[in-house]
Amino acid sequence: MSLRKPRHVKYRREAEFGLVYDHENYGYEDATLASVDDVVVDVLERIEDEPVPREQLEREFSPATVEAMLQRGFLIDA
Amino acid sequence: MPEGPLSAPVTITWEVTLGCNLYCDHCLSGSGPGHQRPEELTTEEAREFIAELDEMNVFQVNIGGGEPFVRPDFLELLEELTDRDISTCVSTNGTQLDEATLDRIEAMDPLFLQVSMDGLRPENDAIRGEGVFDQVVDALERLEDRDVGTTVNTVVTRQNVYDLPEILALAEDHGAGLRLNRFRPSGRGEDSWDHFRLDQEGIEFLHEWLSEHPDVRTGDSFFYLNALGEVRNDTLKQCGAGSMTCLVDPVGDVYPCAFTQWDGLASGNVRDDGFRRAWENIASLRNRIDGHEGCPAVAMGSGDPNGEDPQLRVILSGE
Repeated sequence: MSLRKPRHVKYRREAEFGLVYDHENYGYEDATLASVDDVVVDVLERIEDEPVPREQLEREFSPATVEAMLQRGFLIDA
Repeated sequence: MPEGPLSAPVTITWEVTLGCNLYCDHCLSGSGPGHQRPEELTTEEAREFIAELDEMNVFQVNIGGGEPFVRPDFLELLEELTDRDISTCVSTNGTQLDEATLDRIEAMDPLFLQVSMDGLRPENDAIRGEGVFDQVVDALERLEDRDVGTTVNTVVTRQNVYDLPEILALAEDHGAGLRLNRFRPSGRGEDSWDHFRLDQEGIEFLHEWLSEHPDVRTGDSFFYLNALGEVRNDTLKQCGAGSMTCLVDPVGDVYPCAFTQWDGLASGNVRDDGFRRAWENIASLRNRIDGHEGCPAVAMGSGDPNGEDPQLRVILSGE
């Protein structure tokens, strides 16, 4: 299985953390805004250009990180 | 939620023009026919602003006005945003959505539409103008078969609050969601505040009805409590004005939010200062709008003697 980022999930780095924005409709009131560890941004940057096999992502980061991001909806099956 | 200033807003609201083909009694920006300001951002200036938003990685731009679609270059600017993968949501009065416009909108992504409907026919047309309700329903019918995420947006007033069940049914019949905004005392709303604002009975009805309809979207910290004063949605408790979001008006002035466009509350101008600098300055305005219970804009605009959001006080104290 290869993983990619859903189109409606956006992210960026702040000085001391990362931000992940998962919007559905209008503004921040309707969206989920999560303050995340830098490693989450690392993963999202890794898959920015093309889907990456799950096993590869797990090797490069960790199975727990990949699983947590799948659970949060930050990663989906490509 | 993060604490401290962010490098960029999460979302912004951009009022692209004060021109509008309608003249609504409660318009938050005081827009209307011929109300375009001569110094509104040019197409080139607007493009430069969009490039700066992209560079700062602003996630979403919510577009309002005025009526955005009366601006001749609006579709061009919308394409500039979506081509850069900036999420957009356009608030429209629904009267300018001809088939050619819908064709172009449908090709853009990510894009959502919010179509205003402030009641059933009598209440809506009393506020927005004769015949507007039927035009909006027509637009909703034509949007049904389009791949465009659509929400009916209703400003809740004492005149329409009891029609919410029928408004929701109408929206759902057309495959649209419903989002409620509280009527707030800004723009022409300052003059019509006493006419449209909810009374205690209406507030209690609204919150009870909302508790039975969790899929109805809401904005503003007013909705973080239910009718019993219990926390309903904790994410709404924190006002994001000037910390997570801000407003850019048609001439490029930057304010904490759409409802705080008052003298002395602009932090800069995107044309003169650049948006980044205006955003960096906006944190200094937070202490001007903090300290109010509920929505700061309602607290300030209503002239409440205690500096509070008086409608939130109704919920908290029953007064």
